Amino acid sequence: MKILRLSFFNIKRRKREAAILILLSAIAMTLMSIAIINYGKAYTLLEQAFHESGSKEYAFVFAEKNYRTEFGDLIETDPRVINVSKFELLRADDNASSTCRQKDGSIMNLYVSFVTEESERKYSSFLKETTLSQEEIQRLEHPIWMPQYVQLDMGYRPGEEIHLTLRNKEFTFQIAGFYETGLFSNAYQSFKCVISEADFEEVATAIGRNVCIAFDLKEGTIQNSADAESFEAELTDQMSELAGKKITPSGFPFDSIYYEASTSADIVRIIMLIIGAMAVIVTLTALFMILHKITGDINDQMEQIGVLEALGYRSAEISKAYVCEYLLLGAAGCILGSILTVSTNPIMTYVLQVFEGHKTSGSGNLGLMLVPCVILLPLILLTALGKARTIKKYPPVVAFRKGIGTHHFGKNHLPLEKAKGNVNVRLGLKELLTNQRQNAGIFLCIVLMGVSIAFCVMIADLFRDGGKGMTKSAGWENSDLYLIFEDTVNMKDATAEIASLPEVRKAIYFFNDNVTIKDKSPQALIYKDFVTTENIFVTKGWLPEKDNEIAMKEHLAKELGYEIGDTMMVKGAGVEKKFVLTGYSISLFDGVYVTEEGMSRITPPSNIGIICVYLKDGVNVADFRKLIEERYGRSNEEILAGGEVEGSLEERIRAKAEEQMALLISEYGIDNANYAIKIGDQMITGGTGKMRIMEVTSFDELLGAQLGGICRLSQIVSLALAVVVAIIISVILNFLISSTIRRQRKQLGIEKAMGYTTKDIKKQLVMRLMPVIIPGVILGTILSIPMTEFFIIGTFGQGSLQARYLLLVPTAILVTLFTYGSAWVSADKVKKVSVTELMTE
Amino acid sequence: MASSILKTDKLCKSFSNGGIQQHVIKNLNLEIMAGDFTVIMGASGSGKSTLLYALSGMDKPSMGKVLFDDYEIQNLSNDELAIFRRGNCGFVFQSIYLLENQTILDNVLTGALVVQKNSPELVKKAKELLRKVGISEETWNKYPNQLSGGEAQRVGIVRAVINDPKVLFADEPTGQLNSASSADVLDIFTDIHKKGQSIVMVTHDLKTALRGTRVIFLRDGGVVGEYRMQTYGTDDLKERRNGLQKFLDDMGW
Repeated sequence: MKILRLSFFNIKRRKREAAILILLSAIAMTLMSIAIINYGKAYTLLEQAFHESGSKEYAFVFAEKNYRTEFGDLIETDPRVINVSKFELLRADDNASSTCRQKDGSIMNLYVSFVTEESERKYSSFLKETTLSQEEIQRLEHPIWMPQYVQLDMGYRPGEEIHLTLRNKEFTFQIAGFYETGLFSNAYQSFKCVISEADFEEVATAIGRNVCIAFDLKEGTIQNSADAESFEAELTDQMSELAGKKITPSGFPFDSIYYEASTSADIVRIIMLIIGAMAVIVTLTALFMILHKITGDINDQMEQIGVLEALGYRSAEISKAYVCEYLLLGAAGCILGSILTVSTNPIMTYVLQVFEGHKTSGSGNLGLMLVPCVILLPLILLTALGKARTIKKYPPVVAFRKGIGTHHFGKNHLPLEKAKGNVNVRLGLKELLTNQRQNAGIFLCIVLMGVSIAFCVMIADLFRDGGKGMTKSAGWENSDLYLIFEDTVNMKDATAEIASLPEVRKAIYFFNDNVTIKDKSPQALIYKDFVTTENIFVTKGWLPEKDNEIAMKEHLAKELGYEIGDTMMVKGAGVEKKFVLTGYSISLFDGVYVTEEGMSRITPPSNIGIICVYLKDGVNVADFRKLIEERYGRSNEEILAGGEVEGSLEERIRAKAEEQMALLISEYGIDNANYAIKIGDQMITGGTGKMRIMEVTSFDELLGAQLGGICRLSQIVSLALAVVVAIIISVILNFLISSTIRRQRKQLGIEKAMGYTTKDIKKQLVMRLMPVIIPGVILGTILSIPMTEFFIIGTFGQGSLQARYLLLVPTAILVTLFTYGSAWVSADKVKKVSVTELMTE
Repeated sequence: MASSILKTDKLCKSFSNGGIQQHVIKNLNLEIMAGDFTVIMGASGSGKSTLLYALSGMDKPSMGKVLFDDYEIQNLSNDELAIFRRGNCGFVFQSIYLLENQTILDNVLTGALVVQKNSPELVKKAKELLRKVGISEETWNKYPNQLSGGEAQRVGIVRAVINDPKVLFADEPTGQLNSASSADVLDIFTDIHKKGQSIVMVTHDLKTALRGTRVIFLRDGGVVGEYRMQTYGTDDLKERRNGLQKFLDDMGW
């Protein structure tokens, strides 16, 4: 009891330092708890979302014109398949064909599909969430129920309007609310929206009708993503047999719970690992603080220790008081940490939901908070016990003399006799050199903190501007605009025409298609000449130049068992040819790169491609986009859809003429036709060139849809962690400087009496730390490079992203300035040291 | 005629103790001449040290003025006072207060380098002063805890005079020393004074007070009497002691 009283006395005496230790323990505990609770939840959240929403876990989508009833029968009669449901779904063929005009007016690509409520009930329980009343919903002209992603990631709320452009035709809906859907809740497979039957028919005039067959599989059929791929391949082969022609996966998209879980869950797990690493850093810092504080306390209380020993207390008993003190602080930290965990966990759950685009109930197993407690408290106990045992070295007589440790017999570092420059710098450095052990501790802390901050900054930079940081490493061209033309258009001619526009610096085209290598079907990006590309790089080797060359991500090559120089069989639409692997590409996806000539060896030339348009400096993208849309007109489908055109006589005549041209193209498949109509003296001319365009989009829009939310959140989380670490640095410096001022109060008072100003002494105090801090920050910043690489490889695969490591230079400078500033502000306490304390009267 | 180096005008200093104001110095008017060796005496709690700290710019008065060489210092900020002290005041403490982590030579130079730039002349001066007070070369690189009290106080004096202050202040400089060491230290003060150094010293020791040329007696925060003497060593020591003793007796000491 007496020991406990002594512990409480010590805590009360040094309230501020005790508070800092409680705070550090609490932060360590919170970070550790968050990491442990949410690490496993990254995958279970998705399963929970499927379970709670009653969603089926697998689905095939067939374009209506390609669908055959035998396909449905094949799936239904498969003995592994259960709970089959079939419904109609509207979806564009490619994800570039639907955009959303956001609340701020910006355009983002939002790949959407549509079902009616009746269809949705065949697929899931259709659990709706809304803040609108039934009456309010009924009053909506075009109600739409959107997946939770739209609420979580894009920030839409019930009652708001959403403007969707589907193949150049704009539809405005009013959001009735949101619902949880298992499949069709991502940017690759589309975000499935539920609309009224009337609206469904209206939307069907813009985008294609599809047949969706959703189902579950008997337990144990599929264990992982690879099983899902095999299942898909098996059924696709059987359907090819039934159809009598090769069916590619891009023709009949398959979606499964495993595909939904892919990258976002991996990112979440990596982020949780990072948070866990931060927890370890904070824990080490707290332990260092404990070591530092006990050393200081023992020195300060040496006489008191001597008195206690003289009174008959054993050194082990006195040590217990210190151990008890830190255990009490650690326990308080754990309690505070638990409160912080319980308070912040809903935020983390929300973050997870945004990452994965699914909303679930519950916030994870909070009981896991006990794990950090079980780790932290014994660590604190052992650290305190180890250090407090040094009391044994001080029998009463030594203790009364304040211990030999306070007597200085060491080397005189940097004698003032040889001093040059500022005396304060010299005095600071002298003190620095007398505390080697403390310096080692501070150095270690700063290295760890430096690593953390620099790493967080790199991650935030990778995810900058909603993912634009990834553009250099995306693996596809990041031009100002992408133009997608009708399949009647000759790509080479269209590209040449676009390239000849005065605003355009360059225009190139590319195709994408699927190829098969061994058991994998990666997407192939096909360019005429990779020399003309600006954003496709290799980490090793070179991009294909000849028709038998292929490049791919190192990760994919390893999975397939190939190295650069190896020959592989690549299968297109039925034809298989040999290709030589020439290089490892940098890309975010597991794709392959081949030349147009190379692709034509295995697949008949395709005419549906994308033209990448690079604008000259100073050309406004939005203005150019308007110009392109004006010049190349609306899509054939849109023109054929007709409708009354308002405006001048000329505009109405042009609209009618274009409609006739569209009819010619769709009915007779002509490539080019021109018209000239004379009305009085006026000649109105035009041609099929006016109606070739199908879609204008940009990289930013595509990226925004696919990665925007995740990127923004990752950036926020990274920056928040960097701020937390910066606060911890500040706290540590404050702790160190405060305890130095407290311990050397007399010495600092003497200096003041000699005429040293507060500013002089602050300089000295800061100079005691900066020579340790600066190399610590530099080393930490350097060490953040392998850590960032680890993150990139772990998340996106080998050679996928190129971080802008040059950013580390300003980061290190900023961290150094921040530490200098923090130390300077902390040293302000020296103001309170007064020379009058030296008075003896 | 000697000029005034220090002057106070209605100097007051009070402290708050548990909400109660304690007036330690009350409306004190005092003038100290350049070249004088002024000794401030009085009973414990009479305000001796408080006056010394107020005169030396170590502490600020609550009211009134302190004119140091005709320059008012009472309204200066703490940092301005620190800068003011650098060139003008030297201070010797009863508790010596050497910097424990610094060698003897560095202790002296720490005091010097805040005022002057380092130079071979400065180092030479520090070493000469140390030699003069009997601190031998082999001691210069030792640390304060390796010195005797007398040695340490001699180093303290060197540190105080290295910048040639206008006034050397000393607060019970022999308070913690044995009689032999005290005599050595006082001899140093006398030597310094003879070379023209103005000194203001607080003491309650008669032997120490004998070294002065003017003794001021404080009671309840005010000057109640003063006694003048010849420079130490120029008159008969016995008469000097008797005279001072009588003065102190009259003051009720």
